[in-house]
Amino acid sequence: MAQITPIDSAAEAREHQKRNDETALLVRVRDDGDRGAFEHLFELFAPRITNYVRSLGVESAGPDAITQDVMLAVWTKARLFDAEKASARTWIYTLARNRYIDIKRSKHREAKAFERLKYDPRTVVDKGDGPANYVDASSVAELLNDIPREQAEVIILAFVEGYSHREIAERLGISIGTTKSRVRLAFKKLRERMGVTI
Amino acid sequence: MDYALGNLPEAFETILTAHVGTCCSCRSDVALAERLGGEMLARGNVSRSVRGFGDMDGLPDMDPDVHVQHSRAVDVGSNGGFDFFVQTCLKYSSDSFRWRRLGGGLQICRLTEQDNIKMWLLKARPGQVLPQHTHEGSELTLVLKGAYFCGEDLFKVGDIEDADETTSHQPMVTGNEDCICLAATEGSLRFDSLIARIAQKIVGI
Repeated sequence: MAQITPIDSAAEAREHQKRNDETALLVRVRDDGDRGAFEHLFELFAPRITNYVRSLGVESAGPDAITQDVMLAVWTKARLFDAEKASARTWIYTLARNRYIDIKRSKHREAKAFERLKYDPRTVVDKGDGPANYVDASSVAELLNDIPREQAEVIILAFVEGYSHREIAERLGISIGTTKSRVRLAFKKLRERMGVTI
Repeated sequence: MDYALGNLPEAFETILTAHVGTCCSCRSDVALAERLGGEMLARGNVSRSVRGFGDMDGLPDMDPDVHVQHSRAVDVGSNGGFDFFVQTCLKYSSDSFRWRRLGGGLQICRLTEQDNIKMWLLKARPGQVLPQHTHEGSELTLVLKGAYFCGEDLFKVGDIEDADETTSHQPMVTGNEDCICLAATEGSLRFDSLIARIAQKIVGI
């Protein structure tokens, strides 16, 4: 797992600026049909969506094709984006998540995803650049650095590896009740943190 | 979190969609999870580029009339009880329910079964005490009408009870009206009493 480090306010300020820039691009797509702004968003998000989709175990469906579906939805449905309700990155994430749900419903999740259960969650974020490791370790540390390790662990397994509560419980050898409890405690701290900075 | 990330079987999703629509606390949690997902996505590693659409001039027209639910944290307003949930949230027609009497005032209606998860409705009279039981896996129960106690916890219309294999409970209907619940149950229930287990063989819950 990523090392817990003090909050880097300069890094957070840069992230804040990036978040605002992304949202400004999406607003240009929405309001003006700006193809240049869309191209920029594509460059920023398409590779990340592909890694996200791979992390969820969707392989044979074609991560690139799924990414193109999601980015096409960013373009065609941009008029539904409300910058007052969400940042561009949150909105695009929900489009990718929704597409994943559609695929999951049409086809059972591949057994390949579950093979990752053998991975050690304590090292998962530090492992190379494989498809199961789509989140940068230092960035996760920035987000989760004031959360106790055991709580950060369940958040990482869910968001980075795509595990369900039950899969996390099995992987960590804890009860599903303990898993949910750790999620609740992590969310409580994240709400305080993200309510201010994001 | 499972709901926000799309990690739940369809029956559990159906129940949580109905609950989240009427519960501001859960909507807040879902919104937080989606924001966190957005941060994870935007801060993600980039290992290689993805084939684009070629000439951006080849993009299709933007859709002027799209109705898509982007966030799962949608407020459907204050709930109006059984009919509201059935029509607005669950997309069922109450006319299609085929209730089956179990005796003692209990009735059930089986809706779906997929991947060892059954979704069913349970109707019980005021004051009725259900048999003590536990579960083989997860169970979500949404109150559509009336109310019931489980131990010291009161579950009213719109509330959801989250149980699993570590939970042993005995719901008791309270108030002056029938209680109707929508439940999604993984595996079978495990009843303590012999009579309940015999009834279970017949009914198949």
